[in-house]
Amino acid sequence: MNAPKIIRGFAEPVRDSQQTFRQLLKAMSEPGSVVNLTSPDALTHLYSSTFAVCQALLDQQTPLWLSPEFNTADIRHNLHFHSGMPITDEPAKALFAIAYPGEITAMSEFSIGSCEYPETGCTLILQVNSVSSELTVSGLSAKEPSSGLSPLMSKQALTSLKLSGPGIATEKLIHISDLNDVLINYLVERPDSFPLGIDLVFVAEQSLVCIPRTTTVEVL
Amino acid sequence: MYVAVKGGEQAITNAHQLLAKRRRGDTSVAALSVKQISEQLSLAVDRVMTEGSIYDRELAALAIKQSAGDLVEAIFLLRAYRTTLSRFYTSEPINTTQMQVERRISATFKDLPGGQVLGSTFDYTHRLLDFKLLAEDGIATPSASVAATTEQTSASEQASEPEPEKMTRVLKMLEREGLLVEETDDDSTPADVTQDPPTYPCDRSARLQSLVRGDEGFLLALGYSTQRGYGRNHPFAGEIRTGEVDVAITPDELGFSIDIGTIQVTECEMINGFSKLEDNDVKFTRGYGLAFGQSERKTLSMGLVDRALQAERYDEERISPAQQEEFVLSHCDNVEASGFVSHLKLPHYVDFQAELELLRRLRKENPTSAKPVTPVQEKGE
Amino acid sequence: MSAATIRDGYNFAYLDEQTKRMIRRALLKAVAIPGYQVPFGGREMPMPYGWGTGGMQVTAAVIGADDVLKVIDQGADDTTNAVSIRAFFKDLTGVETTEKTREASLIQTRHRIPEAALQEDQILVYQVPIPEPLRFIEPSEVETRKMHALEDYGVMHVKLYEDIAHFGHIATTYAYPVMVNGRYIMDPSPIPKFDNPKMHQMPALQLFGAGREKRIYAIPPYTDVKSLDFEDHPFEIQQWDESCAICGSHESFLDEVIMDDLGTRSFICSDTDFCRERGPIEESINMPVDTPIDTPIDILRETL
Repeated sequence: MNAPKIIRGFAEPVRDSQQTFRQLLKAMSEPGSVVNLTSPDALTHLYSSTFAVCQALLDQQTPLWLSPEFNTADIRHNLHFHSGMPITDEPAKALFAIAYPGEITAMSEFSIGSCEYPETGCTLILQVNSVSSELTVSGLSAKEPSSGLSPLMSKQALTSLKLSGPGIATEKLIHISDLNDVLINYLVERPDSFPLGIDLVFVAEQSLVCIPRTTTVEVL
Repeated sequence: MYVAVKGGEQAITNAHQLLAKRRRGDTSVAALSVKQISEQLSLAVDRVMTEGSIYDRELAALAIKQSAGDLVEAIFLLRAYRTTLSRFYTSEPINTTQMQVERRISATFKDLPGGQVLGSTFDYTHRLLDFKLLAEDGIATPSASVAATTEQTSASEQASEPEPEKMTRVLKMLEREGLLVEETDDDSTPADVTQDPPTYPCDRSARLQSLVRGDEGFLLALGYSTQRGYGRNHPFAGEIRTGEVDVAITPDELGFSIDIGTIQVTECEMINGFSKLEDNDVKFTRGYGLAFGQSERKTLSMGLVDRALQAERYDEERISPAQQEEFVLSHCDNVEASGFVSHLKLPHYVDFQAELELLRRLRKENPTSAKPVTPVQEKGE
Repeated sequence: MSAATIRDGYNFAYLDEQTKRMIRRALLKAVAIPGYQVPFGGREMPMPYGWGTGGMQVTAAVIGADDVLKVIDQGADDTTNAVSIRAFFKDLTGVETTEKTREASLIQTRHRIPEAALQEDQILVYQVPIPEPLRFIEPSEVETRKMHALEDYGVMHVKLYEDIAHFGHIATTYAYPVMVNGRYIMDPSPIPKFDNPKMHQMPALQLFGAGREKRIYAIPPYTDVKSLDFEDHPFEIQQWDESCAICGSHESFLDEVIMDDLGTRSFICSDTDFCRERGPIEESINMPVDTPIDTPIDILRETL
């Protein structure tokens, strides 16, 4: 077996972590706002943007669950090398989780926190082909999926969502690709009553959008 | 005129200069060296290391020097420095059974393996000011009047430092006989109150950590209160020992442990009144205290409070301050406490103005409120 | 950009990266659960607890080289503690600082919200002494946590109602409790209740740090923040018959200044930037802008 190759992380960890975090803070406090972020290298099929999120937020104190598609020796080894987080096999014990939307079969597998400590609810990071606030965005249909792309992420239709709630002045439109029924149901039905819930981070190759538990979602 | 709280940059600089001058005192008197503090004010150094949560005599002595002997301020300096340090490893648990004992006493047995070793202690000194120290200067030969160190040593050996040795623990002997509740290592990872804030009720490891960092005076008063009946727990000082223990780490890449040095600690194991346990057995209970250096008052107090905080475990009524976990742990830290008390010195005039406005309005509306004695002039009216 | 100007031997913004990550994670959960107090591993800062260590840790975790920082205490940029905190961040981040509310990307405050309306992409960081709004009714953390979990806020309404029975008014004038997004009762920090309405639907992000109590909480932009009240006793803010002796403002929060031993009083804006922007009402009030030592009080005394 070949030893997994270590790829480059942030060029300037202090600065890059801060900038990545600020983008995440904006995205999480303004649901539906698309922000940009990146790291020098992608980690096989883990986008450089997703890798940036990992470097900025994860460490020894954050158990991470990787979906089967992401649970490869390369990814595990590199994430551990750069961030040192424990990888857990049980999604319920993960503070963070990474998956393709198509791999999510039940949201109840993830922690929704407790009424006394709702912040222990999982942050679920979902890698998708595109997130966009405009339908006319270029590169969506024109661009072929990059080589490392999973078959689970083959060209799926965009779902247009109308968001409202804290962080949004009136309402916001957002178009996300690859959403499956499990996720759409979760977002629209909101089965976990606030403050319980899972906070979602949708990551495309260079951009990211968040839909926290407070957001009211309508499918258009 | 009271304008001091505004326009502060220059004022702050001046205050810092004045502070430095006051700290140094009369410059015709030789400056105190950090070495002198760590050698001659060693008990102050021990306290600052314990509550400051760093074992480093030089840094603690520096903090004492910089704070002009204000130990709470010195503890704060050390804690603030600690925040900036990276953590490389978590050590293996220290083994106090393997301690090289310099002092060891038990109040529960007249004699026992290893004996009573008095070591250095104020205990039997007569508290008479020693005016000879007024004249002490320069480098002196060690005084010959040091008290006897162990009861077993012959007169000829007086004042010589006894060889530290390993000794069996007193409480272990009682445990073996089934007379004392056992403390066993369940191998779980201890909490770290400096990383995760305590949640209540607390894990015992979190509780003990908070107590180690807790203010000695506060714990002393609480421990004392249990002796006076506020949460009485019938304590006996089962064993107090001071000495050096090895500190070992196990680096991932090595896979085996290596000793990285020794530290001096004081440990107090308190034997407390017996209690009926869950399985209907009856045993003595216990309280635990540990501190860096030689810190006996601290460890005794800690042992008393630790036992008081086990009230729930032994189904005791929790009615006294020392038994209230949240109360004790959330108020025992002197860096937190002194910060919040001293913040009253900061300007609060916005909030005070808000209160003034309401009080004036209430009094205006209330016909029985007395009118001001001297009419107050309002500028510009 | 400004890395070269940071004090030797310290990380950018003082905190180590692991601590920043921990605070950053807490901040993300805080904005996801508006008004809920997220516990965090608060660290000792080189300033005493109670002097803004919570706000400082939040600022340190958020601030970047491109930020423009404003620090106020009691609404003013030149109060000693504001000066000290600003100097700290200048020293340890090298960022640009400003006294102008409009120019700041990041504002750390104690006890006030600036008078000028804050904008999108600005971040307001509050220093919080006691984050638990129920603390003075129920001292136990175990109990208050349960109350928040069950949304059991009866005691708070009882307390406010007792005020009305005693005094004819709700007797809370600062740190006046608010309901955030219709779910959590939250302590807005000891700002005067005058400032409470500014929190409602504010376009800027509001972050709260309580260092000694080790809690972080947040209000995302455009979030409902309602001050608690009763139908027959609606929430109202402070009013003054007087106006600012310098700029003549009737709309701002005023500080009272005692002018002499007889108790002669005058009033000036607590928000020094707001006052300066408006400028003096009379030409006789000479208002030097660039000398920080000349405070509004000094100016007032000189001109009287």
